[in-house]
Amino acid sequence: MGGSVLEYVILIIYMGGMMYIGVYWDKKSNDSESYLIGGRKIGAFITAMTLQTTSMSGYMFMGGPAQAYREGYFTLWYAVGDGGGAIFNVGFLGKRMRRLSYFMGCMSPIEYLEKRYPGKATRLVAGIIAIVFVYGYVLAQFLSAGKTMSQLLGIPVPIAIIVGAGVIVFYVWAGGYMAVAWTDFIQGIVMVVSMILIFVMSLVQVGGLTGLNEGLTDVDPTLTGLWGKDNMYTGQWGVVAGAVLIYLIGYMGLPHVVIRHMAMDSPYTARRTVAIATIWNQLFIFIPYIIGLMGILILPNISDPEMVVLTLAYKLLPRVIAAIVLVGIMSAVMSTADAQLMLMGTMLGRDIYQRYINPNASDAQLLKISRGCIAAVGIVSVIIALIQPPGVFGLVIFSFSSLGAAFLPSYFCAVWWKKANTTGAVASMIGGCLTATCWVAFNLQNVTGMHQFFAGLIVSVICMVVGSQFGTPVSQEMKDLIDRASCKLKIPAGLASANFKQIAPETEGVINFLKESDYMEQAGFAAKTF
Amino acid sequence: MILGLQPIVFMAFLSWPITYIVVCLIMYAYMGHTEKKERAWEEAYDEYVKKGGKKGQWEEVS
Repeated sequence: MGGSVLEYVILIIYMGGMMYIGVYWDKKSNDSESYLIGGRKIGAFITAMTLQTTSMSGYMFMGGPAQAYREGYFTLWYAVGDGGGAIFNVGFLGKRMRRLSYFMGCMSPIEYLEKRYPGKATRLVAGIIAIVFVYGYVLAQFLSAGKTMSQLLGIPVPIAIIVGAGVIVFYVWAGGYMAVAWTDFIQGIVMVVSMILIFVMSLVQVGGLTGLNEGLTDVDPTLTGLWGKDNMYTGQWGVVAGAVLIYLIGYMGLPHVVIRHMAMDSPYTARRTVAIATIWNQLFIFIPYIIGLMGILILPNISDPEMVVLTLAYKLLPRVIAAIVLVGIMSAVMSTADAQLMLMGTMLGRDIYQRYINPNASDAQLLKISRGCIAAVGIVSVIIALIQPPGVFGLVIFSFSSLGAAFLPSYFCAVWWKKANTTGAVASMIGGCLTATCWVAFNLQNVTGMHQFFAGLIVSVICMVVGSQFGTPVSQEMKDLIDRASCKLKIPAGLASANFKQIAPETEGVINFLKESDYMEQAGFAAKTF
Repeated sequence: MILGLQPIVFMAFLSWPITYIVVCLIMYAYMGHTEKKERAWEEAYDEYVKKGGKKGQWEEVS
């Protein structure tokens, strides 16, 4: 597929816009906190969009539809989990993590783990796992951006990688977290609009959902069954559980995703973020897979199923709209890559340089070093991608599963289980990461019928629970901070009643009654627990 | 058949967007409910600190 002038013009406008956002925020990011986590000033809309677009990579435009094209409805197990990801991620983790990270003064997700689970081992293990696997993820996204541009525009892969990665590195380097968040916001809109356009046009073509399902049943009844084409996954509940859980709860273990909780302008932003992100999810997540299914009927002989979305766009939409779909694909890739690149800069600057090399680094020095690290990681990634490119989707699944299994229990228990200690966290990170990695390396999914993420998660949770029974218990100061993050500490009695008035008039009535009858004093209530 | 699918297949795959919207609304309402309590708690905590209580360290005051 070669590009025409129209595709080039639209892509240049889009990339120019992204770079402008980087330059714009460059002037406003004056200190390390604003550069690394947006000064903790990100509102609900931007948080929701950056959270979701970071979570969705180019896989949603290419890999997901292709899988649905090959395996039928079974692939929608991934969408079933993904659709509820925001509810779990933001609803259960967002508010508490925002508070605890603020109380502990953390600016990176690894620093957060290190302060919650104090010890050299936490730093070392979390740092190594995060840097290695997030780097693998960055590399995969750069390759994905390059290959997509090359296929769509007909330019050589090396040039496409240099251009695609160059634009991402530039705006992340210049504008930091705010540039990443705002570009993600725009990219999220482009992604959902372009996907809905193709969905509606394809649906008209196949005669609605009923027409699609009847058509698929005519082609092969197993395509509309529960267990995949030719019933290839019959009874493999371990694979189904892994497919649902990987995106339902897996995001809680990805450092480049959970850092979004830390950057919210208030813990209460989480509430609106859950609503916005969940609605966006329902508009976006199921559609790519259903488009893949429609491709079976509309494009029965397509040679490369990964191109089903784009081929449908060019077949069913005006050329200028189809070119916007192309931008949608680039948006999906770039929104994930920029967040990971930003995280690499944060970790290398804050967690490595400031901690080990120059503990007395000034704010200006930290800013300079973080920017330098982003540029260095970008350049090295491009060189590796040009010299010896690994497989994109294998690298993504490998990195995602290992990161998710390694960190999920540690991030979740940090705010939900006060007894989770350093021993448990370190054991959980090592156990989860090793299990998921071995599962992929030795192809154990085929032998056991269990998804690598599910296997890694089980080991990781067991290690956390068992490990936390040993080693140094959590300090009282940390327990107090966790209680404070969940607003569960006792409020002094003299202060509680004044604040009850804001909750409900009937509560005030009850308090007055209790005061008048001296019941509280007689019963010995010194403080009230919420 | 629902939309050309066996009911169990429809429930397994296509009923989720509506389900998640409903769950999200419940969660939104629940978070709003706890938010009032948490804001009251935070104000009480600030007042406690103003009156000489130590920040980050809890001592029961009678």
